[in-house]
Amino acid sequence: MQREIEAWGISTISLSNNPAATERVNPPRWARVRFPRGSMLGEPGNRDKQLAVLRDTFAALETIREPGGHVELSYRWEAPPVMWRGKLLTEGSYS
Amino acid sequence: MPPVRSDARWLAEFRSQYAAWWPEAHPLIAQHQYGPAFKTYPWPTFREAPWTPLGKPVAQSALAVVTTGGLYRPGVDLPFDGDALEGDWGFRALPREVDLTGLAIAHPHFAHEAAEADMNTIFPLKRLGELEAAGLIGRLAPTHYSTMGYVTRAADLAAETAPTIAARMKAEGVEVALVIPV
Repeated sequence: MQREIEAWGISTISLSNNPAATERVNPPRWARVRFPRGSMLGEPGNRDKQLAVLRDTFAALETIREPGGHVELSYRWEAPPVMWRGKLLTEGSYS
Repeated sequence: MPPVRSDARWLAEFRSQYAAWWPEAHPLIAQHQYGPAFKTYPWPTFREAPWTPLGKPVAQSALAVVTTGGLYRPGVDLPFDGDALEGDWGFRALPREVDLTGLAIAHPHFAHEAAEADMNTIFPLKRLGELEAAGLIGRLAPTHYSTMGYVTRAADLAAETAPTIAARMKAEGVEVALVIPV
């Protein structure tokens, strides 16, 4: 999806909490977040963190110069783990 | 202006490998054994990335967002087919004025609690509106998009859905896009 949009002449960036999968697809630009799957911008209701993630992501959109480049966002998951298919998803976990 | 098309050379090979994968994966997926099923999935893998240089700062650019969270407007849009074993590779267009609390999720492959409590966790339209008001985004596009992230038919997503969304973005003057895989 992201690759195709970029190919149409639109500059793109994505969020990823699954670096292995993202590197396989090799999107033009991406920002790694350390939140569990299902919440890509942090805890529900945490407006300040959501805004910070977006601001940092757009800064990366302006600073990444090489196709496939990425940044690591340092924000942490500050809520109880998320239960998914019998497992607890902690920060940075996808499955 | 003719669109710049991304590399389509992988599609034929993927479809051939997919046709070989699916008969064995099908019964596993039907039993929700995703781990064993996807161990042999022909993941599309790319060494090079397409590239459109940023033409101007984000603060002067028109932005659209794509989430793969399976969002739709009940009573307006049909839900995605969340039970389809090969997924649903369609999309829903969501106007920028949409009420986030009125959106529903048709995507059974992730935990919904966070998004149901605050849709901004996977589709941050309200936060993006705040950044637009603060002058950090040039303008939000009139239309934003949701797909449903569980799609095994990657070639159909790449060859049908993604170019349709990209063309609609171009028609609305979108210059930068934020993609949020859920």
